This record gives sequence, structure tokens and C-alpha cells, in this order.
Amino acid sequence: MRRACDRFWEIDPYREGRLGPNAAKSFERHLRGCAECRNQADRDERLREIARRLPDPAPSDLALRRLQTRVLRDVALGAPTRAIRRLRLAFAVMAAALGCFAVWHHTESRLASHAVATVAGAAAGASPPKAEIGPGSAPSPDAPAPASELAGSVVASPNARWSQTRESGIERVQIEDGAVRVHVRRQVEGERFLVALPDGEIEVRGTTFDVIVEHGATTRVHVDEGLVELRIRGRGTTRLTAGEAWNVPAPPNGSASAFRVAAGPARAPVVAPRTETSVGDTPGADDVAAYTAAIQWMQQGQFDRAAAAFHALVLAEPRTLQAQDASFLEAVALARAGRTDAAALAAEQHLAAFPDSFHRKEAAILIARAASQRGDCPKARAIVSAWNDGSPDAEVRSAMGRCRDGTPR
Amino acid sequence: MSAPTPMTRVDRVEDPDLLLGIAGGDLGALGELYDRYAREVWRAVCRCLPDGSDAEDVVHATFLKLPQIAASYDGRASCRNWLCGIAVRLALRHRRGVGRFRHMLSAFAHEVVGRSTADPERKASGNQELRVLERALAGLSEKKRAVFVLVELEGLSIEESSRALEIPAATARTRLFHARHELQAALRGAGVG
Repeated sequence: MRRACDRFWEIDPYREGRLGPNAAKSFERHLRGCAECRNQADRDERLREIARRLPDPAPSDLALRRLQTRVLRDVALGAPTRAIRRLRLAFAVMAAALGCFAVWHHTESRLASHAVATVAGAAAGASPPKAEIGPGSAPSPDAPAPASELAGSVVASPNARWSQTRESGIERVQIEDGAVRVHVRRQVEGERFLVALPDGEIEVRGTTFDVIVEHGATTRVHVDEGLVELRIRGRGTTRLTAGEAWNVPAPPNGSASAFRVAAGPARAPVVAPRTETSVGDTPGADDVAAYTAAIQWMQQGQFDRAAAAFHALVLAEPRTLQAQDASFLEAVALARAGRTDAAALAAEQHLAAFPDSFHRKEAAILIARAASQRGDCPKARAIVSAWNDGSPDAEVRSAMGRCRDGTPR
Repeated sequence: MSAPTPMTRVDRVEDPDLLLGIAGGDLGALGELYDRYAREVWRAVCRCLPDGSDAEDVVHATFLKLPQIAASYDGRASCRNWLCGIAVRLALRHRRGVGRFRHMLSAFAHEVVGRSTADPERKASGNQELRVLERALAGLSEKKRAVFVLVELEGLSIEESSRALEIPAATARTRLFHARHELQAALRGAGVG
């Protein structure tokens, strides 16, 4: 790869304009006479030209939005650093190894135990891999596998508080706080398996499911396989089959939305917050396609059409994260269509439905813009007051318009 | 009422101001910066690590890191190149393990073959040179590919790339030279160079 020409390295600086005027002129003269440098410059340009035509691997808008949600949520909640994650992994591996050893030892020794055992949740920072507590009645050495062996295995989040007991064929997992995953083998006749919650209980016949309890209340139950019957005080009975989830319904003002970002709690969550808020609220493929189509109409400048499509999406799936975006984008589409008041109305609806929205500032700006345009300065000031503290940013200043100088009409 | 006006960004907040906000814990500023550059960061990472799921993780890590490093930004008007550099560096770290690296190579080879045969438009156009370049790019070492991606595909200068990758400029220049040479040789070998 030896080069005869020692000015070969000037090709890039020349192309990028980094050579001084005299050096550039000198290199231009050199190029006219040096076939090697000229050919190399042509080859480089040809390579660049092909490289520019490589397929764009950029993700879809939806994927970007989802990742944005993840990023903002993790920043708000203080996601663990890489070192802490590694430490946790190491703890988890050690705990798993200890658990395997314990199970093996238990199987080998086949010690009978009549005790009702209670296991506290794991120490902070390490998740107990499994907790299988001794049988509730002494098995005969000649008997077949006793029904008194624990039917359920439990994997809990690091700070979970739970216990597991078995007595007279009734096994009970009591969850006080945290996220817990329970796998229950198929129950035989005479057995019952109950998960006791602070505000209710779950009865299962053989299944795998997750439960989250926060601040003394069940917030989510998700079933991977099998069937569970969920009984929450004051909410009746809900039967959940594989793939279904129950989430604590948001109160009418939406302030207890299961999805929070901006006002992240100081403590780490037991699990990542989920976006669904009730059974079947995960957007289906049709909704994803409709969302993508609406985005495309926005990009094509068909704002009224896009606004209608976003509105339809909100109506179809009002409590998904996608609906949160869609309801804001409806307001944006209306604003871009020049329908300022309609946009403000949509923005108000967005804020009412999603008070913790990522877009609350932008929505407030839309409302303030409309209010200032019609001379309603008190409203304009009130809606952006959170971002109007002495040195408002350019967007807020722009939205305030004629109301900025404190002279309402 | 005055004539309605479409919502447009009249006064755009500049990148350095956004980064100041991010350093101060402003999530809105982070969201704004994400909106501006996430797509380009993702693309740069994808081109260095053509494993889609890993790319998402690296982009996630890049933006997650911003609150800690935003204060060190040098104040240039656009932080696009700075972000791409961070992302590519994280991508390289992400792939440093030998096992991961092997997995990446096989995944990328699979990806390239899969994409090449599955894209009817490109198949119809018979765009052989793109397929050859994709394969050759996949065959480059990580280090050379990172410099090539940053300079030739993302438009960073050699100096910016060297800062981003924390290597001397001369090293970046040499890696770029060898990357180009290998890619051009591959194109020539396939009769499309």
C-alpha cells in the first residue's frame, strides 16, 4: 500500500476546505499533475456516493417514541448505573446458586417438616431466586410424591415483602409490597392456592403470573399462562386468562395514572411502570398502523385528516401511552391546520386526561397561544405559570404574545 | 380575534441551552434534544452495530448518560456530532466482549444477507454495489467501521471523530484510510468499483 505521492494525505483536508488558501491552490495545481492523487480522490468520492445510498437503518417514529418514553422514565426514576446492574447480576447469580444448592440439599435429605414456614423477602439489593418452603405434612418414605410439597415457586423483586405458607393442603403466598412472580403447578384435588393481597386475594389452579403491590394496594396482575381469579375488595371478581392483565383503574381525574414520569418517586420502583391501565389496553396492530398513518398524514401536511385520525385513536384506546401521544398530536395537528381554538380545546382535553403527560408544557403553550390571541391574558398566564418564572423560555414567551407585557385587554 | 397562525417554533432553544437544562435535571430539555437527534444517533449506532435490539439499548444508554455529562459540553451550536460520537463509543464498549463480538458478526452477516434478499426494490434494481458495500462494511473491523461511519456516513470531521472515539487524529486518519481501501477493494473485486 505504499504511495509514491507524499501529498496523498492532503486529499481529505482539501475536500473539507481545511487547507489555507495558498495550500489549497498549491494542492489544486498538484492534483492537475498527479494522476495518483486524482484517481484516489475520484475513488473516495465514488465510495461516498455509494455509501450515501445505503439503506437508512433509522427506526420508525413509534419505536423512537417508545424509546423516548423509556429514556425519560429511566432518567426521572434514576435508573441504576452499569456498575450497580453488574453488582445486582452478581448477587442474583450467587443467590440463584445458593437457591439451587438449597433445593438439591432439600431433595437429598427429604427432611419432613410440619412447620409452617415463613420466609421474609430478600435483603435489599438481591432478589431471592426461589423460595420453596418445607411440606406441611410428613410424607411417608414409600408414598408417591406428596401433595404437601409446595405447589408454588416465587421470584420477588429486591425490596419485596412477602411470605409463603402451607397448611392442610392450603398454600398461601402473602404479598405486602413489591413485585412478585408466582408459578403454581397444577393443583390436585383438595388443594388450594391463594395469594393474599393487602386489598384482596387471588385464587389459582395452576398458572404463572405477576403481581405488583405498592403502598398497600394491588396495582397490577398479569397472567402469563393458566387462569386466575382476582378478588379485590370493592371491585368484585375478575377472571384473567393467559396474556391478560388487570391494572388499578385510574381515578376520574387521572392523577393516579399508573404511568408517571415527570414526578418520579424518590425510591426506585419495584418494577418498571407499565403503560397499560386496564385489561386489553395494549394497542393492537391495527392501532399501531393507524397511528403510523396519522403520523404520515402530519408529515404530508394533511393536518385535518391527521387530527381526525388521532382523535379516533384516542377514542378507541383512551388509556394507552399511544393515546397520550395521539391526544397531544391531535392538538398539534389542529394547530398546524390553523385551528388555534380547536387546538387549544384538544390540548385542554389532553391535559385533563393525562395530567402527567410528557407534553404538558407544549399543550399548555398551545392553550396559552390561543388565549393570548383572543386577549384572555389571565388564562394565558395561568396555564403557563409553571414555566413563566421570571425568565420564561422562548416558546413560552412566544405563546404569551401580547400578554407578556402584563397589559391584558 | 386575530388570524390564526399555525404552531411553529419561532424561537428555537439552542442545543447548549438544552444541555444546560439537562445538566440541571430538566426532563423537558432532554425530551427536546431527543426529538432533535435520536433518529440520527440511532442511525449511526445501527451502522456500527447492525443488531437492532442492541442499537436501541445503546441509544437508550446514550441519552441516559446525558444528565451526567451535559455540563461538559463545549458549547458548539449543534451537539449532533457530539451525541453521535458518544453513541458510537458506547456502541464499541457495548460490543467489547469477545462473545458479543462474534455474535454481532454472525448476526450482522445474517442481517445483511437477509436484507439483501428480502428487499424486492433493491433486488429489482439490481443494485449490486450496495450489497457489496454492505457486506464489506460488515467485514471491517469495529474500529475501522466506527471511523468510516462517523466520517463518511455521519459527516463528522476527522478531528471530531477522533475526539468522539478518544483516539489520536492520526490514528483516526489511518483507520479511515484502511477502511476506504478495504471497501474500495471489495467493490473492485465484485466488478462494481
